[in-house]
Amino acid sequence: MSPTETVKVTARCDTIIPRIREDSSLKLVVVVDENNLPVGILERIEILTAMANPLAYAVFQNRPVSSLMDEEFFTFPADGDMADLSAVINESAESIHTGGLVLLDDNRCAGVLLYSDFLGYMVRQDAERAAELAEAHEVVMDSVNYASRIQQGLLGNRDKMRASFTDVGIVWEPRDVVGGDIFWQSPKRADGMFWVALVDCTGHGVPGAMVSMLVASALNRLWETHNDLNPGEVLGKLGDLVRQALNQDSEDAKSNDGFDSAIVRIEPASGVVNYAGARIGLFVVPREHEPVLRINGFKMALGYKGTEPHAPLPNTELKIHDVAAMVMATDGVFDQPGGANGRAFGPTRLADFLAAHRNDSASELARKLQSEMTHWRGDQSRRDDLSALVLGF
Amino acid sequence: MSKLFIGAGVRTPQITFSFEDGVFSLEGESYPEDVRAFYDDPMAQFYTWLESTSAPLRFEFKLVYFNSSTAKVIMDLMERLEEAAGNGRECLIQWHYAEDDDNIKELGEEFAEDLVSAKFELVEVN
Repeated sequence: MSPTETVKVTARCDTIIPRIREDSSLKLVVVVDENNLPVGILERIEILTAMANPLAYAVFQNRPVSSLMDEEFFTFPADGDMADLSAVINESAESIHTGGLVLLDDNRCAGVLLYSDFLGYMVRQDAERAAELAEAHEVVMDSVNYASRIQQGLLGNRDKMRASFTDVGIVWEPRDVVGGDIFWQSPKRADGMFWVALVDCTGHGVPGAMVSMLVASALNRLWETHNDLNPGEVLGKLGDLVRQALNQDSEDAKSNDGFDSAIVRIEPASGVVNYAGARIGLFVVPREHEPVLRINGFKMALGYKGTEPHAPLPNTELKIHDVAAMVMATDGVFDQPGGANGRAFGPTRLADFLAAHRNDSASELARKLQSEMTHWRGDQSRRDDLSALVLGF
Repeated sequence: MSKLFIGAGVRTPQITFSFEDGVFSLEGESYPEDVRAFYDDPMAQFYTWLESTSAPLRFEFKLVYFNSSTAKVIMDLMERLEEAAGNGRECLIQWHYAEDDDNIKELGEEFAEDLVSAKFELVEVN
């Protein structure tokens, strides 16, 4: 509330105009009648403008204030709620331009409230709220960033992965710092055999990351206890382990989450690669000038609520010497809308992309795919976690 | 229960369930943060209707993007439709896709592979 100056409606203009000229804090003067009830307002900015002309002042100085005042003005109860005030201000700002409201107490003028004061109040309120939000956001983001370090710890070791192939390219872009996508590589058995997996757990963000921890630990456990399994068997067992761990093997399970995955088993000794996938396919770039081959994964996701154990998934065997590169990608790549018409990127575009860049190294290919995806997305929002593994043989 | 309409959100599709006409549709994008919070109630209403009536039905999918948790909802829905069709109900499933969107088309074809009794149509739109 600003200092309030009132003037009687019958008073002469020269009793108030000089005061308004001298005192810049008098933004709004309330004109009251003999009963002290407000009947109009004088606004400093309008008075100064109108009286800038000495002739105008000469004419008005002897006239009553009523000849100069603005009879249209907005009022608000002095004990009213600030929340209701916004509505009144909105209304008043749309109809006439005044500098403020007249506050009423039992119909009498109790003061004025300048819009500039109210604006200041709103800005302070807003700043306080913004600070509170920023703090809450910081706490959450600190926690999520920390969680991201933990999650990155369970991802495959990039150096070890590169050392296991001619070259490896990795795209790993969780939508929300942490995510449900992970890539993983087993240690090597004495004969050189090892597994590589790409997993897309349902959801993203924190829930996705929680399921991904479970999947990674189940993969480690399977490797330790069952490394004689083929990829299709691994996926079936992995589905069972995750389902049991989430207690989704009963009818009354509360959650219903699972994952998509592709696993390759590489056996350098026999020169053979086996692939199995659940909703993650395999794109093979052959060494010779043959077209890019697409092997579809089994179409069911794994780990979801169910009482029957998962059956082993079908395997596809390839000879290492036929293969230049193998590419696996999560649905964050295929489903991302973009391009001119907001269409999904889709498998055909990925196959074409791989064919166009088949001579690039695996890491170069992954880099280009990453920028291709960014370009494709354009100003569309990122819909999901996005990952791709390019294994160069 | 004659009609259920839920307007599209940024992450949720438009749901139009016309129980009286037996026409149901999901349209737009579907990637709610909590898929159950969004789908549980409308799907429960649909399943209640499915169980308690025997009229022919048409389910239109006009989705341009959906996440894996939504895929699970759709898969459960397809199973229920197939089951109803197996019991003699007339079930038509229409899967809309844009002519240059092979991704959505393929996803529809995958769902269709499990359908024997329910009738499935791919509908190309420009």
